[in-house]
Amino acid sequence: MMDEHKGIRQKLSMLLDAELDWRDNPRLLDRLESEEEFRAAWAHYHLIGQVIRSPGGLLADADFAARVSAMIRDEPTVLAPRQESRAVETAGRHKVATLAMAASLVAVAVLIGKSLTDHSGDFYASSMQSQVIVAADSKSVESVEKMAEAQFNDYLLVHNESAYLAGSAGMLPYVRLVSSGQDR
Amino acid sequence: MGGQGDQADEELVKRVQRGDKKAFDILVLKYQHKIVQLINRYIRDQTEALDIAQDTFIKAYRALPTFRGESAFYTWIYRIAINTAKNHIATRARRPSDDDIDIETAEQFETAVGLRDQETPEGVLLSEELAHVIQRALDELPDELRTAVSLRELDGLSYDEIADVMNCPVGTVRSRIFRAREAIDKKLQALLG
Repeated sequence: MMDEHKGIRQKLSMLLDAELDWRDNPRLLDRLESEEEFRAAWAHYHLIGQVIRSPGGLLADADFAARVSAMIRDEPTVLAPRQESRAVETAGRHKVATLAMAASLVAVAVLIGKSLTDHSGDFYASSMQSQVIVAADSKSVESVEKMAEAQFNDYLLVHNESAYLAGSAGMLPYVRLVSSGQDR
Repeated sequence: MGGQGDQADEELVKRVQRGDKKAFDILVLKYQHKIVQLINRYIRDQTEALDIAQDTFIKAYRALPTFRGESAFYTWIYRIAINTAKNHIATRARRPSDDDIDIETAEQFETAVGLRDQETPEGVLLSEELAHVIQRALDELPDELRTAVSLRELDGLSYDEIADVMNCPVGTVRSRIFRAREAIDKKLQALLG
């Protein structure tokens, strides 16, 4: 018993010097909190160090910690929000936002695809639509946007070249606007 | 090695944040003298400095739910201590002189400073006596114990570094520092009863 207590005090001495990882001694902090002998040793070791470092310095009086402790007992218990639940909540929000973005993109892609199908044939639009959906499912929103834009622009350029010949002017105002924007 | 000290603080802070008030007592016991001396650099009056130190710990306790551990606990509480001391100085500068003070204000001031009547001059005298006892006990230690504990406390050397300086195993350093503290602690206990 005596040796065990001495062993714990020695560990406290090491803990104070940051020469002991408390995680290797998980019960050490529990005993420090709950047993007066160890609290006193902890307080005295710190006091000794402080006096050695600054001999003439003002010290907290012997009852200082007891007074603070009494005041803390009268305080409402502090409880911090749990870090884990906050992290989960944030992650959840991000996931919902990503899914919402992907869903919006799919919807836009479907509308564009449908519009293209109406104007110029089924094959090109349906292949683009399926590619967009696959990409959106894999949540790579940015690459989907770029791919859709590139394919759409390619399509518009081809369409621009052939539209006059075919006598269709359905997308022409938009084609001119896009081409003009790219040249600038 | 300093990281392990911070890790213990971190764990104690987490315990307080989970509602364990006793864990805060351990932090107070660890930092009380450092905080008092820090504040005493700003506020020369010893009784006032002790009041402000007390106030600092209470403010820290109340603010702990917002402490996220982005800085070490001791730097965080040092900031609180400095701000509390500076605010106290600013408030004191704005306070009317004692001649003009009315009863209501006087009562508020008594409450704000808090527990002043508990800070007796005997408390300050005892602190001086404690320091004297510790210093004398240190001087009386055998050389190897005094050297080991001084290298640790004064020079801040790690156990490995002390072992190099004293040319002995780390286990011996650990034991010498502990024995030095125990010997001084015995004298302290005799004084404190």
